[in-house]
This record gives sequence, C-alpha cells and structure tokens, in this order.
Amino acid sequence: MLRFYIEVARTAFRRQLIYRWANLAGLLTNAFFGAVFSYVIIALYSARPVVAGYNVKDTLSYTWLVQAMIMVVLPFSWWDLMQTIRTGEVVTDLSKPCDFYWYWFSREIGRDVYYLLFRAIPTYAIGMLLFGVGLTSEWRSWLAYALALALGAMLGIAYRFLYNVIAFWIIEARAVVTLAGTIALFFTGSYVPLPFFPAWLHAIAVWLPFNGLMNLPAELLLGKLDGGSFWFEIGRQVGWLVALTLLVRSMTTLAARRVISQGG
Amino acid sequence: MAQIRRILQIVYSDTRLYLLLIRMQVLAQAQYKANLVLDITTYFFVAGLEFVTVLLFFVRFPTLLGWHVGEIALLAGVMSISFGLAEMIGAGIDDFASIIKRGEFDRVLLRPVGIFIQVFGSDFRLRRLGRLTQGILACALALHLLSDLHWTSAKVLVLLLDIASGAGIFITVQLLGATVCFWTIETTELTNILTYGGREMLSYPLTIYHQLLQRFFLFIVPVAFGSYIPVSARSSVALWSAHRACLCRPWSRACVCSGGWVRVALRSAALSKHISVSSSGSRKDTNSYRFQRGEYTYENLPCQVEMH
Repeated sequence: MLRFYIEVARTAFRRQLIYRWANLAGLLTNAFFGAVFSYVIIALYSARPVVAGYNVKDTLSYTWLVQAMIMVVLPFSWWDLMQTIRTGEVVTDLSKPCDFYWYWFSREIGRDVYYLLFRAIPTYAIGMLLFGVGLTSEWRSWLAYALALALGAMLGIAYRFLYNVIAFWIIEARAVVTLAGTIALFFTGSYVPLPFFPAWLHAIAVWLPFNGLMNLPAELLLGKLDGGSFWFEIGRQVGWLVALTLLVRSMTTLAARRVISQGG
Repeated sequence: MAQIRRILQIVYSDTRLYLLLIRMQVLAQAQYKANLVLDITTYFFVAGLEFVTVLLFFVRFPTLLGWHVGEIALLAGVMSISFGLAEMIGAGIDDFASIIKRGEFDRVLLRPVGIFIQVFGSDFRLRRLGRLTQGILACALALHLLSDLHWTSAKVLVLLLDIASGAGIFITVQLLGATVCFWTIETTELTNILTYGGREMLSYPLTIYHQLLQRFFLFIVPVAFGSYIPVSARSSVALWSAHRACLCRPWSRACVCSGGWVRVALRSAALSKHISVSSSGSRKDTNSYRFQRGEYTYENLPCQVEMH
C-alpha cells in the first residue's frame, strides 16, 4: 500500500512540473512581495536597531524564509478538494480501495516537494541576491529546520483538508476558505513576524496550530530558540498535527456516511 | 454639432445600459442574502486583519522612517477604499479571462451594443463592500489618530479625488490585464503584482522603496497618486511641496486617460487578431487549447507540454 501512495506522490510531482510558466509567474509574485516587505522592515528598523532579539538581518531572513515556505506549507487558495466535492467527483475518490485522507495526503506531499525545489529555493536565492540575507552554517539548525519544515508541511496539509472538508456541509464555502487561509497566514508570521506580536498576543499565538506552520521552522533556522525549548516546541507541533489529523479523519468518516451525490 | 450630439447620445445609452446591468447583478446577488452577508463579513475581516498588520508594526517600532501610525493608517485606509471600489466595479474585467476561455466572447461581439459596456457591466461584486467598509473604518481611525490635523474643504476634496484616481488606476490596470488575455488566454501574474502588490506597496510611504520601484509606481503605473502624493501633501510630511502636488494632479489624470487610450488601442488590435484566428480555427490544434478542454487526463499527461 505504501508503494501506491509513493506513486501517487510522484505523479502529483510530475503533474506540477508541467506548469513551468505559472511557476515562474508565481515566483515573481513571491519575490515582489518579499521585496516590498523587506523595504518596510528596513524602514521600520531605522527607528530601533534590535527588537525582541532580532536585528535587521534576522528579520529580513525571516521574511524571505516565510515567503519561500509559503507555497510549500500553506498555498494561498487551495480548493482542489472542495471542487471535487462540489462537482461530485469526491464519490469516485471515496470509493477507491485506498484511504481517502492518505490519498490526498500523498498528492499534496508530491506537490509540496515540487514547490520546495522549484519555488522555495529560488525565492530565497532571489532574496539573497537582492537583500543579502544569509544562511546559517550551524548544522544543528539545519537539522532542526528540516524536521520542523516536514512537520509543518504535514500540518499545513491537515489544515487545508480541514477547511475544504467543510464543503461537505456548506456547498459554497469560498468565503470560509479565504478567511481560514488569512487567519492561518496571520498567526504564522506571514503578515507580521510572530516575535513582533505584543506579549499577550504572542502568548496566545504560540499555542495555536499555526505557529508550527512557518514560524517555528523559520525561528529554528535563525537559531532563535535555545536547545532546551526545542523538544517542547517540536512536541507541541506534533501534538497539533496528531489532533488536526484525527479531527479531519473523523469529519471525513462522518461526511462519507451521509454523502448524497446530486445528479446521480 | 451633430457629432457632439451623437457622442452624447452614445454616452447616455451606454450609461443607461450599464446601470441596468448593474441593477440586475445587484438584485441577483441579493437573492442569496445569507451568503452575501457571510461574504461581506468575511472580506471585512480579511481586510481588517491586513490593516491590523499595519497597526501591529507600530507596537514595537515607534516610527516608520519618520512616519507615524496615523499617517500610515491613512495611507492604508485610502488604498483600501480605492482597491475595494476597483474590485467592486471592475469585477467584469476580472472575469474577462474566463469569458475568453469559455468562448463566450463571440456572443459579446455579436450583440448590437458596445463591447466595453458589456464586459464592464457583466459583474458587480457586492461582496467587496466588506473591503470598502474596512477602508472607511480604517480612514476614520486614522483621522482620529491624526486629530491635530487641520481640515479645509480643499483637503477634503483632494482626499475624495485621490480615492477616485486610485480606483481609476486600478481599473485601468485590470483592463490592461484583460487585454493581454487575448494573446495569453490567462490573465498574467503581472496584473496581480500591479494591483495587489501595488496596493500593498502604497499602503506604506513611497520613499521607503528603491528608486526604481518609486519611479515605476509614480510614472509608469501611477498608483502613487492614489495615496502617497495627496497624503504627504496634506499632512505636511512632504516629499514635494503642496503646490507641486496640485500640479501633478493633472499629470496623473493625463496618465490615466492616456493609459485608457493605450488599452483601447491594444484591445482593437487584439480584437482583430481574435476574429482572424478563431475563424481560421488554427487555435484548436495547439496544446494549450487542448489542455484547457480537458483532453489531457491524469494518466496521459505528457511531461513536455509547453504551456503558453
């Protein structure tokens, strides 16, 4: 069965390879927004040199890391599953002899690997060229980053699945998708870096699942978390991953029992 | 004299048609009240979160290159209103890509009314009222924070004028994207960069950016006239003096008008190409057309297909 899921992931990866021009266009968009936020950060730092332990270089690295990871972890509008529900194709997916969630999971893993190679790395490379952001040489940070990114990507898949599965109950769930996506992006540090949140909001935000999406990997790569809290943070991320996956699976089972497909 | 009368007649009939189309759209969307209210509330929160971002920056940092919270909030609020207006009114232009893809543009060409009015009036997104409301509230908050600013009727007029020019420029950019659709089928990401990116950029003062970006957004796609120039002239954190800002207003109007004419010229060129190409039927053999028609399934995707 594992062979099957690996093949699904590889097919999804190869399918994404075709959209070369769309990827290039998206890369330009990522780079543009990265540049805009970088200029804002530079202008803000003219007032104060260090804030919450971050200086200009760190915050610029953070911003470009988040821009690079955005397509890997939490693409802005993902309604593939919702569209299959709307058109009724979900019935064929549900009748396949494989697990529904793991099928979609492998598809998304394939896509995520594609975006890691062809969007994340080029985006950060553009950031290095334009703004001189660097990369740490600590191998421990890189290992931690790899682990956190993998877990964050899986968390992102579970979250995307969650807000798409709601379409089983509300057919026209486009507004919910937009709102869910924006809330996640806000609390993961894509709009304002999480270390810059006021203390009370930061205390709430670290306990939300969105912290583990992009903020945690970025902070780990920049080396801003000390060794002691590393395992605690990873544990929290894994905890949310398990919780969200269980929630999504139970919702899918509930929905599959009551699916009425319109149009025969 | 007869020419002028003819032009006035055309303008009058076009406006009547446009208002009729808009009324149809509004009534249709108001049928699904719950959905509409949910949509408006959602977009209000989304726009609100983006505004909260601007405010949150000022929790840790006292100023942004000399600009304070109130001024940046005013910039962001004005941009939000302009963008919301452009999204609401220019929704038909946004949908243009799908009209071309579905082949419905031939129907538009066959009707005895102007093409532009048909496309323009084909959609009117009431749900963008959410962003508009957020923009207005943001401006209200900004004006509260800027309570030591003296308001004259001239300044109010400039504020209204700059919201209108901002909206106009965004609609023109959308029109440019729609025109390019004739060649590329899909709207290019460039339009998204210019509209969403332009809005994001101009929510902050233009002076923080690189010279190249400044010149681009001042002279080539003059979105800066929608927010930065008027606000800086008004709140006397000036890049240019107030006099020069007033002089520049006719320049921005000229830019928008000339931009509009350029796009109209582009569209007529594109139209003639569209008619000649679709009549020859040569488009139907290209790979990209086949891809859109769904002839490629999950199993037989050739990996070397070029997508143009």
